[in-house]
Parts: sequence; C-alpha cells; structure tokens
Amino acid sequence: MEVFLQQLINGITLGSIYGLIAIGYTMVFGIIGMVNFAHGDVFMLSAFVALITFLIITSALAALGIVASSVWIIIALLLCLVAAMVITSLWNWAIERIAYRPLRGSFRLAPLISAIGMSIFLSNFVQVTQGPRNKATPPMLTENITLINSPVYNVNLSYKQIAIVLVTVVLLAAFWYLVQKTPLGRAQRACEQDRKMAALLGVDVDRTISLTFVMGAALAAVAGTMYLLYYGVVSFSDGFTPGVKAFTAAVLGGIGSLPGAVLGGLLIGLIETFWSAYFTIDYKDVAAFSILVVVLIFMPQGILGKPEVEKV
Amino acid sequence: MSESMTPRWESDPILKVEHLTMRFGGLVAVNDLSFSAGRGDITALIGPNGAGKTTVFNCITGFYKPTEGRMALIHPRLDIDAEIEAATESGAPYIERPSVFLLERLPDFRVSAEAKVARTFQNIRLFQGMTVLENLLVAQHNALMKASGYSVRGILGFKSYGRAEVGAMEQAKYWLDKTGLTDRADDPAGDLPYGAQRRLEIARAMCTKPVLLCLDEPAAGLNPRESLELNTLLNGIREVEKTSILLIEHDMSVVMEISDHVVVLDYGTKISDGAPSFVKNDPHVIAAYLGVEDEEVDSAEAEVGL
Repeated sequence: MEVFLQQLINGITLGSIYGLIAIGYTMVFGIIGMVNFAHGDVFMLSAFVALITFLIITSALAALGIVASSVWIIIALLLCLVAAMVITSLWNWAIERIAYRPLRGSFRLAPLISAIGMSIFLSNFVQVTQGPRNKATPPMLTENITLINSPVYNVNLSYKQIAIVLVTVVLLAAFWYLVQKTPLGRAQRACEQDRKMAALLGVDVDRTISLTFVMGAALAAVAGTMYLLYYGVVSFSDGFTPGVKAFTAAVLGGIGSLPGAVLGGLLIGLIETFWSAYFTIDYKDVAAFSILVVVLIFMPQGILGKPEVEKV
Repeated sequence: MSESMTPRWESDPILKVEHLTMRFGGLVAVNDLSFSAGRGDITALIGPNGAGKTTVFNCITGFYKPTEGRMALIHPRLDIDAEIEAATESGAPYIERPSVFLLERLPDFRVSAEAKVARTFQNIRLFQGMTVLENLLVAQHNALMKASGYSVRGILGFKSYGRAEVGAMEQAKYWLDKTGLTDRADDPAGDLPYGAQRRLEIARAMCTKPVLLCLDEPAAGLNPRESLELNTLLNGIREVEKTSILLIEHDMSVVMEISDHVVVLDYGTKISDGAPSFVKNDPHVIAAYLGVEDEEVDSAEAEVGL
C-alpha cells in the first residue's frame, strides 16, 4: 500500500511532465498534420535555458552577498520558468519559420525530414556550446512532507513534486482557457478542421500556425524547467527519450486531442513508475511502449481520439 | 432597368474581371473571361457542368492564382458620417482606406480580411466540430484578434476586448436570428440538417461583413420550401445589408427570379452576358444548354417552343 501510494505520487509527477510535452506534439499534428520530431529537443533546450538562467541568478545573488533562502530559490525558479518559456518560444518560432514553413505545400514527408534534421541540429548545437557532459543544478527544494510514517516504507511528498503538479495544473487551466475561449484558440481549432476555409474567413493561417508552435514551445519549456527541478541534471541527449515518450503519450491519448495528450502523459508516467517499482526498472520503457501497442491494436485512434473522417 | 440605360454593372461595378485565364497543365478551365458585377446587384454565373464557374470563384477568392488576368474589386462609396467619426476617433487628420483591390495579388486570407470578399461552397465546408455560434465567431476573427491584442488583452480581461466580444456576439445573434438557427446555437455545426447547414454557411460568410458575397450553388439539394426561404434570405441580404452577390446556380427558377444580371459560361468561355430576359432568349445559351451546334439552334428552338 505504501509503495503503491509513493509510486502513484511519482507517476503523476512524471506524467505531468510528459503531458506538457505531449501537448506540443498533439497541437502541431492537429493543425498541420506533421509530427514535429524536433519537439523533444526543444524541450531539452528549454531545460538548458532554465539551467543557465538559474546559474546566472544564483551567482548574481552570491555576488550581492544574499544568502539563497528558499524564498529566493522560488523566485529564481519562477524567473527561470519565464526565461525558458520566452526564449524557447522564440526558438521554436524561428524553427517553424526556417525549417517548416518553406516546405508547407511540398510533399508530406519533406517537413518530417526537416524536423528530424532540426532535432539533430538542436542536440548537436547544445552539445557543442554546452559540452557533452551532464550539467547539474545545486540541490534545491529538498524538503519533504512525510505522508505516511511507517517502519517499512515512508511515503514522501516532496516540495518539488507539489511544485511540478501545481505549475502543470495552473498552466493547463490557462492553456485550456486560451484554446476554448479566446479568438486565437477558436482560430486554431478552425485551422485544425479546415485550414483553407479558415483562410477564406480572414484567418491568417500562417500566423496561427506560428503561434501554435510558440504555445507548444512554452509548454515544453515548462516541462523542461520542471524536469530540471525534478532530476537536477540535464544533458544534450535528454531530448530524445522524454520526447519519444511524450509522442507516445500523444498517440496513446489520441493524437490531435488536447485532453488526450494530458491523459496519455499521465498514463505513460504511471505505467513507467509502477513497472519500475513492481517489476524491473530495466524494462520500464518496454512496458510503456507495449501498452501503446496493445491500446493501438484495439483503439487505433487512441483513447480520446476522434475516428478518422474522410474529407470530401 | 430599361434597356436604353447603361446597365449598373458597367456604370457602377463592384467587381471587374478582365481577361481571366486559368490553366491546369494543358487544360484551359477559364479562357479569357471578362465580366463585371454591379454594385448592389445579384449577378448569376451559369453554365453547364464543367464550364469553369467554380474555377472563376476560386480565382476571385484567392483559392487559385490565375494564370493571367486582372480582377479588381472596387469598394463602395463610404458612409460619410461613419467615416468622419472614424477619422475623429483615430486622432489623425485623415484616414487612408484603399478603394481598389487587385484580388489576384492578395494572399487568400487577405481577400476576406481586407478586400471583404466572402464565399460559400458547393459541398458545404463548415467547421463541423465547432458549435454553430463558434462558426460565426471564427468569421469575426480579425476584429476580435485586433481588439484582444492577439489574445493577451483578452486573457487579462481588458474592457476594449470585452466590448468587441459583445459586438461579435450581437452580430452572430443577428445572423442566427435571420437564418432561424437561434435554437441550435450551441449544437455542433455538423449535427444540423442539410438545409440549415447551407443557411449557416451563408450566415458565417455574412459575419465577415463582406462587400461581395460569392455563393456556389446555394440552392443545391434544397427542397422547394427551403429554396424559397433562400430567395428571401438573399433578397434580404441585398436590400438590408447592401451586399452585392455573385452566384453560381443551376436552378433556373432561382436564377431568373432573383438575379439582375446573368453571365453564361461554356467550356471556360463567356457565351452570353446581360439581363435575365436577354440571356434566356440568347440562342448561344440555348445551344449550350441543349447541346446542339450553332447552326441547329433554330430547329432546336422550334422544338422547345421558343
């Protein structure tokens, strides 16, 4: 029971991060029908931006002779979050502008290949500029709340986990509002259904697509910052595995569906942590992907996906 | 309109199409087509299947870039009082507003956003998954986006955005009411019956506040009662909104009843152009519709009793 509860907490935390990344995949797929393979690397990039911002802030504090108390750490983290969101959004905007938009209207595989190229470029760029080794943050927010104090197994809820889930929930709510209630979100949903028709009603489709990339990147940056906070290390190759997992989450939840992406993320996170806890940690990725295979056999459109409708 | 006067499509056109040619590879879909549509008129574009009518529409609305030709949209003379008001509000000594748009040079979204041309499709293209109301709000996207500061002010709940949103809702409600769809406002557009979807598509096009509304076979698949309602709706649009209408239609009762001006296409070429009464009796038109050679027109006419 204690183990179960602890893994549930861990799984939800991990799943939140996957869900945030998965939204970027699912939105881009929904609107232009392309799998943005560079999205995982955009996530990795954002973790680096957050790390650099954090180190700048802490050294600035040290230079000013301020002792970094936990209040300062929280302020620093919020600043990291904002910096990561802004800079990563600009990156992703530029990527779309340079690597995808000129290929729109070309054959279907062209932007896909371009995305793979971008993914390789980004991870190599970070490797060259930041070095190939793991980069670590000083430990922060290390306090725990002990939920169950048992002689066998303590169930802990760390401040980090609370922060991660809290930030995720708040941003998802804001994001949901943006998509459902604002003109921009309406335009995005319209472009998703019929891009040409949206253009004929005066919607600037190119700009809407750009903004979709910006939004996806902002959420990936939240995930990147949370990832850095959770694990404390990041390396240039860290975009790949979480990226593939998040893509899996998007497919599992039904690609194109926003609630599906979050649900898929949570499921993948939970499957992974429970498998590691009860079976073997070596095969956790195999478990996550096997579930994907099984779900797709019985529900080819994913859990919340809409069945494919033939367009006339 | 008496025959001796210059017809409105020549004296006061809203759309002037000149030498429009559209080729797809070796196929010439539209061949050197020139015509004008009068301001405030209902202009019908008719012709047998495959005559190139929809291609003309696709060129006008920015769907295709024409191979050759010029399509000029001339905006109406302005509402003077509203203009004075707008200039005063702007703070500048005058406001600049383009009056002529060369449609072949505008990217598709600007044809709607700036030149104010709206269209509907032969096979209905609604946003099926969105509600009826949302369909009408998407059509007002530009005004709302501007007011919402690209969603930033909207999220922060600024007053100016609130006002714009109320305006957009009112516009949407007005058209829901006109098309009798008020009860279904919150249903997904895809759930509406066919006739209602047609009306919604027209309402959505009207929500972009067009000066020229292009309707591609609006009466297709409608029963006689719905067809009659459509005529009323279109006449209302012409009388009340003062929107000029360009119409593709196969249903001759609709064409002859509501249009002021008919342009007939066959194999991408214009074969007749004029008032409905003139076109109806033009031997070329009869030949094209009955499928006979020009020399045999007389005998064909005799057969159908003309």
